[in-house]
Amino acid sequence: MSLIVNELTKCYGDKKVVDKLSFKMDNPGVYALLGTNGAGKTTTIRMMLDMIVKDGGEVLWNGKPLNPLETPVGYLAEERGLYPKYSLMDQLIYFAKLKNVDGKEAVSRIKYWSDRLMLDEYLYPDRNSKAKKKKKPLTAEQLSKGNQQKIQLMAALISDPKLLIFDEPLSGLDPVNTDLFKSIIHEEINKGKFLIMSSHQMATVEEFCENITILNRGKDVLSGNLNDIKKSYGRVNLVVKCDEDFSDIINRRNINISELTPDGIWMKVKGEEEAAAILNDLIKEGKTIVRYELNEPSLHEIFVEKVGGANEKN
Amino acid sequence: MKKIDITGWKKIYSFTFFQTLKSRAYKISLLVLCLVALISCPVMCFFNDTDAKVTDDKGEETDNSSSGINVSYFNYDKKDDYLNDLYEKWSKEPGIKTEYISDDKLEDYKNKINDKESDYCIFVINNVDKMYSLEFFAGWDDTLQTEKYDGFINDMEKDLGNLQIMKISGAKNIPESVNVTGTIGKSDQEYSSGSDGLSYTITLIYIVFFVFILSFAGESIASSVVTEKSGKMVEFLMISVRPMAILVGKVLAVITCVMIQIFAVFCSFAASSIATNMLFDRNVLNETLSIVQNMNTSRLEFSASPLIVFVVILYFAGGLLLFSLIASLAGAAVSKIEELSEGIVLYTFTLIIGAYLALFTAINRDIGSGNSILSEICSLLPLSSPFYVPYQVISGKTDAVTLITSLIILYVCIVLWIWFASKVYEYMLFYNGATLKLKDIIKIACNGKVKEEK
Repeated sequence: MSLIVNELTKCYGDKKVVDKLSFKMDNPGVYALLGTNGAGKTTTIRMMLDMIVKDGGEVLWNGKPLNPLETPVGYLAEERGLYPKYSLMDQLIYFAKLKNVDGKEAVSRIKYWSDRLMLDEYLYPDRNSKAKKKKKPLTAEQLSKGNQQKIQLMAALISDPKLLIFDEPLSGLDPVNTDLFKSIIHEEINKGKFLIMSSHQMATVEEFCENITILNRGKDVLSGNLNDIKKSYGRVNLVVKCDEDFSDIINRRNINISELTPDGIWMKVKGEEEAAAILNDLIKEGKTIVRYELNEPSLHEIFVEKVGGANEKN
Repeated sequence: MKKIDITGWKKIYSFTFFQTLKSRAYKISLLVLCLVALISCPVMCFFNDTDAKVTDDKGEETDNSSSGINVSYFNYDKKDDYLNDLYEKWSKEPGIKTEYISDDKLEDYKNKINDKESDYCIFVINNVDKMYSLEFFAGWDDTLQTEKYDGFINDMEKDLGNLQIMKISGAKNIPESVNVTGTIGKSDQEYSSGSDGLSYTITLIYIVFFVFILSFAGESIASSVVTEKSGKMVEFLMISVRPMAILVGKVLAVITCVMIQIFAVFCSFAASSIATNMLFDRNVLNETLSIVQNMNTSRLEFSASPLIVFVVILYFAGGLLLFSLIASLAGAAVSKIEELSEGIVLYTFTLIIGAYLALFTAINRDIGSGNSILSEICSLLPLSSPFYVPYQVISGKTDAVTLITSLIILYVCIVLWIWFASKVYEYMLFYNGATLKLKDIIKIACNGKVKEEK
């Protein structure tokens, strides 16, 4: 299986909101679409799902144009939507039927995901109740935002699709539910699914994604394998913490300090040689080194550099 | 539009249908309507009894005021079955009172008309050389009077023509001399209680009833569309079905719900009528049906009742469909549920135009001098024809050509709306911003976009 997005373009008037965007996934895994607000991520996703008309380009799934009406796609939208006044069970069965899952199968899948996402008390309010009178089915407006998001995730996964598209899946979740969502995402990846994920949370992207595309104003400013991208930047982030003051060494070598924290001083070095020289200086001067770390730039830094730099040029 | 564009509409239909049935607003409105229908017969009974008592007190005046048209006969062989049949038939026309008059009385009528003492119309039917001729006397404005009694005159002519054909073919014995005179008269007082007054009242009731139904259906559809749009459910739906399937499923579901409401109201009315019949010995349902049955349906060449019912249903369904489509676009024109009242202005505006035009034409036709051009326009305009034509059909005040043309225009307009909606609905569902105006929607249809910015 493979997913190919080829020169996808969308214009509103004269403005190109997505400009010849291309990427591909040859193997199951997670592909991240990154970008600032208004960069074109959601428009790209909507075009991929055939919700809006493309002004150019194509999306191929297994070599054929992707048609969500024929190929089941699990979609978790950025702005979650549930019918506020309808019962949760009715909605989930409806969403399953829309995805051609028959009634009985839908009920058993809802049960599975209800257990997995710990939603039994909302979907089966009578299960543990000893009262004779049946409780009224719960509606979406009676749920917290996090639980609504879980229902949305259920709706996205209920047809067991091979291709998943999650737009900001973890936004607004508490740490416990974030971990729950992450574990489910890991499970889906292990099942061999293709996941396109858009997110602002760089740490999450680094945790899941092998490949990324950074969008800025509809244009692809950086794309490729995340590890390769990081390697191309080299290890330039140095963190040092000593018991004694070592500011003279930093000043002597004219090093840029990024941040001063109780955990140490964060510096930008030119490369591994300069980092090694600083370490030599610290040892020579007999400083007690508590922490010494030399890292590649984080995705956050790369993102800010690429997007911020591009915006400054404009 | 391809088949795939509406694939999945049944799923949307069944979900929307059952959720609307379950909704509290629907249950409450259904309950209220059924209650109103249930109490309507006893209430009508009560008021009719009061009216009867008042009329009885007036004695002879009652007879005069209830008479809208007088047809009189003289000097003919009462054994002639044909004329007796016609006599029976004409006497069943609403508001017609028949009496035998003498030559002297006929002359007296004519003199009164000439002296402008009476605004009666007189028909004289002569049989000369086995040919019938129909003469018409009206004192003050022959043309105007003829227009007013156009339907009835047509009936008379047709009946006499048939009679003549039968006589010529020798089916029965022909009386040697037949001379029939009919008079038709109206005074200002009689308009309110005559057949045209009744016609106006029924038109008014029908228009109000239809506006109520369209308002409910339109509101339901528009709010359902904007709820899905603002709540972003539409994004989830659109990876499973196309926008047109959403539109079709939703519109048909709401129309079905409305039809169920109407059916329930009719059942309640029938139950109320049966109960009233048992308790007060009055059959309001039959009385109402007989009023409708007594209306003139003979101008239509195909005046069979089931066909008329079918034509009325076609208009009703067409009107419901057309206005529901307008409502769905009105709902898609706004981005937030709070802005729905602003977006639905377009819908309300078209509804008011249609209903008021029909109402104005009905008033003009029945109470005023009558304007056939306005009536034709109102019959042909798709916004007003669903309000105006059904009663015209029932009361036989339209002809087959106008009716068929009007139906064709209505359904072509619906098809055009569906085509238009298929061009703009997708864009509108994802549009977020200020409420779209009609000109914006037309721009979308032409250019695929409304503004330069997103």
